[in-house]
Amino acid sequence: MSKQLSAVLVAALVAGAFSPSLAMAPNDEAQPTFYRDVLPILQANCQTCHRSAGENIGGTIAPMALLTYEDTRPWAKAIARAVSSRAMPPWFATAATRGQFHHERVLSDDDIAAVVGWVNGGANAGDAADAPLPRKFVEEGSGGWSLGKPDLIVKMPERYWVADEIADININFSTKITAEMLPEDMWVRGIEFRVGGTHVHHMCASASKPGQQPALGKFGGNSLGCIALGAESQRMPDGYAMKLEKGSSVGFSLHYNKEAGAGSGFFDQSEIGFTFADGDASTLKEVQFDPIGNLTFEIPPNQDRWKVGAARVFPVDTELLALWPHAHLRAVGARYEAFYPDGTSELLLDVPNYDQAWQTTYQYKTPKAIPGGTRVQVTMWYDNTAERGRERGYDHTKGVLLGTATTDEMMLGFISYASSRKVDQLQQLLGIAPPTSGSPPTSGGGQ
Amino acid sequence: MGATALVLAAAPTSAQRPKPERLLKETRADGSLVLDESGLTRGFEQIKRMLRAVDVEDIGGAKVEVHAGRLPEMGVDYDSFRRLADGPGTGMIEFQTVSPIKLRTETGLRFGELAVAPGNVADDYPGLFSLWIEKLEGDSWRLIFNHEADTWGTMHDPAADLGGVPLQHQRNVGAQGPFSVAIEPDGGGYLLVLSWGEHSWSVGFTAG
Repeated sequence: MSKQLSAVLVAALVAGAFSPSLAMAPNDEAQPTFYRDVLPILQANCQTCHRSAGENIGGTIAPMALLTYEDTRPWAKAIARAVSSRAMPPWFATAATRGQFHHERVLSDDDIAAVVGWVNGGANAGDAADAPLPRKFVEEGSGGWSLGKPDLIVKMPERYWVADEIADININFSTKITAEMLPEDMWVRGIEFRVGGTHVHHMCASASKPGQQPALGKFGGNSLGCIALGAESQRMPDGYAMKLEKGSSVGFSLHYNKEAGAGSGFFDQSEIGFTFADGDASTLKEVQFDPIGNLTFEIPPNQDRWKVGAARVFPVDTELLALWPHAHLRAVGARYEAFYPDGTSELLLDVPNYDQAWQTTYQYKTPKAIPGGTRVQVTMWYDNTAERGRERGYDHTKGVLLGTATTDEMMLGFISYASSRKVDQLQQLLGIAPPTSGSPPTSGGGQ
Repeated sequence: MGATALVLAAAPTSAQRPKPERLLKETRADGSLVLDESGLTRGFEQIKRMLRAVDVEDIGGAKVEVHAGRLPEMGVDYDSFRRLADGPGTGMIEFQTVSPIKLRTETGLRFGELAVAPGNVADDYPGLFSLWIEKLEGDSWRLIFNHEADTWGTMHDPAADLGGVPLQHQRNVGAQGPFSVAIEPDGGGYLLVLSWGEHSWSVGFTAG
């Protein structure tokens, strides 16, 4: 079906979707049915979140399961509205980068036409024999881990009680990896966070070398990654991994946010599952995860689109693996751009309707190569107006700075990347390429 | 600049690191608490102090603050600056690795004919400006005031300019030092001084 025709059909179907006469239309061969036409779409695009129990934050935040006809039928009209308006499934990057990222949750016009047509035709079940096999979210014996049974599981050292009176807290924990758990240095390819529930605003992890204290929150150390509302676990592509040294400690940075009050307290003991990389370690490319950020912004009151920028010059050839814009309640837009040494530029990611409740990780299907000297620039926009303040629960009459609470703000354009050569902190900070053998260091020279 | 790199550089060693303490950020009207036990709040302040050159002047009870990236005499930004300063060309000093110079003022200032006042971004709120150094023909320089205060050092948008004033430029052969800012009393007024290596720029202003 052509896109144009599908679009027209969708419009026509939506227009009639809530007509009682059409809703009672008889079930015939031409009418989409749940088992034959809709369930495959739900499995492919919706059930990662819309299931009874998830293994990560992203898997637990949907308010209803859409696994079966019985689950789905009561929500048929709402589903038609959500998919035809493209509010669901949630995917916030513009079409400019369509096809570049994993987990791209975008329905085709044909899919939308099928869902809306099913609702319009009476939302019938159809023949159960047409149903695809139920989707399996975890492997048998994996212990419920979506990336498969981990090679190493590290938990917070003890259960932590998030007390009734706490509305918002950032707190760190550290767990020493014993020699029994990890007898030798290993390369990690998969990192899955399993957190204690939807009151975890975010969780980040870092590995500290033996003898070092855990790093600060989501920064420093050997950052292993983060997960927040709406994110999915990530597996690095073949040939890429993070190093986990024996004797390290794993730092857990937790940010809990909830409605305070009697009975609201809960225990958490989040954990991380590590999957090790196979093959020859000497051929692996080491992955780093850290933010391009602005720490000195001040968003004044009553602003509907306050712009905050940040950038970094990558001094050596680099491959970008993933982008993860992170901000809080006021953030409404995020953009990553690459400015190449030859004077050209490229849009890497544009999220014009950023929503902190959907902190998607944009993981490249194929690592994105950028030459040394490229400046990656991140821009975020913030809405500090009365209307949004009422909606999201913050005080719009005050300026807001960088801070840890959800009602403070952040401007962090995280990236996962692999450098072609080792770059130390000062070189990274100032855009200085490390010397090749026999040559002095040189500045990256981004445009 | 890469925030992680900044934090890494700022993170104290295990021997120096204080035990994380409970920082009460807010007690809300309903009695609920907003807390930080992660050390991040303190860490952020350490990083800012380490990486930003800051000067604050109390003028009749009103604060006037200028800050900028404490860029050393090396790196991609210094190389670009040297090419601009030493060459025949004209243009803006751009920073790829830090945000632009920032001015925050709680009182009205006057740089020559240019009025720089609170309220430029929000009513009854301090004035927030980014400042940009531009090299003009004949090795003259000027300082541009821009209403986009939180952009990056490569993101100057002329459409948001308030205006510009001439800068006095000096080249002090042999002088060294990272990019720095200062507000100095000068007769009945003040002098804003910006320095980087051998170069310094200044402009006078009055308050009130």
